[in-house]
Amino acid sequence: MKRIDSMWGNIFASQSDGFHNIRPLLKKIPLFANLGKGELKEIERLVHCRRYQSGEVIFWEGEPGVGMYIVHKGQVTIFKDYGKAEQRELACLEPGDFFGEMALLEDDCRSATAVALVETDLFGLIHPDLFNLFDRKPHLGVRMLSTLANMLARRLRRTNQDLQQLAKDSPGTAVADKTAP
Amino acid sequence: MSPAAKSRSVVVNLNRGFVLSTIKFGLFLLALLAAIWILSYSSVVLTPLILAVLLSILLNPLVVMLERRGLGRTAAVILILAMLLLLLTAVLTFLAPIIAQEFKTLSRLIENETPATLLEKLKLLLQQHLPWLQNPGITIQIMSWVEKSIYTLLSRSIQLLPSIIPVAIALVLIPFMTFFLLKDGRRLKKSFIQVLPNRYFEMAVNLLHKIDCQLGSYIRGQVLVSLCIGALSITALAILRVPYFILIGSAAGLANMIPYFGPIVGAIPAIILNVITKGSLGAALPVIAAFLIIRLIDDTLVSPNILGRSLEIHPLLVILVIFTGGEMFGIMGLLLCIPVTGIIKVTFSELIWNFKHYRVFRSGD
Repeated sequence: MKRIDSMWGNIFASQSDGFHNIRPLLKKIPLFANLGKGELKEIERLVHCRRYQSGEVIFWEGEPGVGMYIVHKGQVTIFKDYGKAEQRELACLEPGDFFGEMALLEDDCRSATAVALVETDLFGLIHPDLFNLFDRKPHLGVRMLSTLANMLARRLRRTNQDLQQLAKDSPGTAVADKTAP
Repeated sequence: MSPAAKSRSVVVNLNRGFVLSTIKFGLFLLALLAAIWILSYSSVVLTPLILAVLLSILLNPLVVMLERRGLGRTAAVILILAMLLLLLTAVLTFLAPIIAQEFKTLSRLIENETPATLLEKLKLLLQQHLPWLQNPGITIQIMSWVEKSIYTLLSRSIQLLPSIIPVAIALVLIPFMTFFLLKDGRRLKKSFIQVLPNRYFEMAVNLLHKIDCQLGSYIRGQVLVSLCIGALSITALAILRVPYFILIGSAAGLANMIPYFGPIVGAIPAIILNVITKGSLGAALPVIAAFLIIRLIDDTLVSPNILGRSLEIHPLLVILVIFTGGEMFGIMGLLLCIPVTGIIKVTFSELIWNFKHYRVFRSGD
């Protein structure tokens, strides 16, 4: 039932008011902040507008990842071990937040499950589409990938700091020695 | 609102939504089935569509190459199609006099000698060089088989004549279809993904991408191999001074797309024509040797380097598919059955992989 509803929701999604004018929202995402008007137009063409019902799973942990999502409307919760006794909530994402961006860089499985908390509109950006675009517009690829690398470097630095703090708080563990340079 | 009232309202909404969604989904399925049914009965549209899909897969890397140099998609597609048209015109202008000459001499040969006199000539030649064929029983058996084959071939050729009109329609349809498939292919794919339920979204994206990659390299490889074999055959037959070497060499290149049978089908006309025109059975040997060498080059150098082991189809399946394709759709069926089997094989193997890795059948979602 939910499957049929979501299908029809998606057919008319781009026509409904929720998916108008994607560009301003894309511009707010750090990954696209450095892109020009024409480049954003190219990204806009690739974006898949998807509507998820409350409680609907966006992707499952362990499945092959194909791309990232930007929250346009609604809320998304990221879970570890979703549906199991040891289920943990990792993050709750609001409009403008994005998730699954690691799938743009690696051919690995999803590390967590994403679930729509309420009726949610998402913009999906798919790895093969994006890399086809990079193949056609290498300059755009270099700019976007360097922004992504900067974001990941910042995240890694923050994780290192957290780990070092954790090591200080709990002496005796070897966490500090294992952090990345 | 009390929890009981809330749950009642959810149930009412679900029931109304269920009826509406079922009707819409039913209509969508009906429209899809009707489109498939119409297409399957209308080979006038289906064959050009398959050819346009193959052509667009073949030309896409060239369009991407132009886009990389800063050209827009539409301009790149127009430029590539115009270049292809020019190339075809140039090749035909260069080859037309030679092919026309070959057809002229071939028709003169047919005019002077009917199939019956040609058969008589072949019979005398065989009896002259192979004394064991003096036994009238064996000779009659062989000759009746050859005669039957020639008449079947001729009747099949006559059956092809009414298909001149569809060919003319195809010549108009193919460039148009190729243009729109190249220009709007990505948008079509996106629209198709758009209608899929969320549960299948990621799987469909992954599946279509993998099919695109595998199929693209397979079809481009097949065409490149056929071009190589065609060029090698024309060169070898020209060196051996086999008559109608361009026609026979081109046919051998085209026939190479049919595994196992293709090379034999390509070699037989060259052998027969060389034997008849030179009047000696010994004339068959250099042609056989040339085709064996070409086969060796194909198996050791051309195919492994261009095709690799990307899409292997079991020999038994190849034989079944060739016979079914030939029986159902004639020559076009023979040529297209293997690429179409390739499409089906890639789709199935990727579907199985995706069903294993994505939780599409998981309940409760």
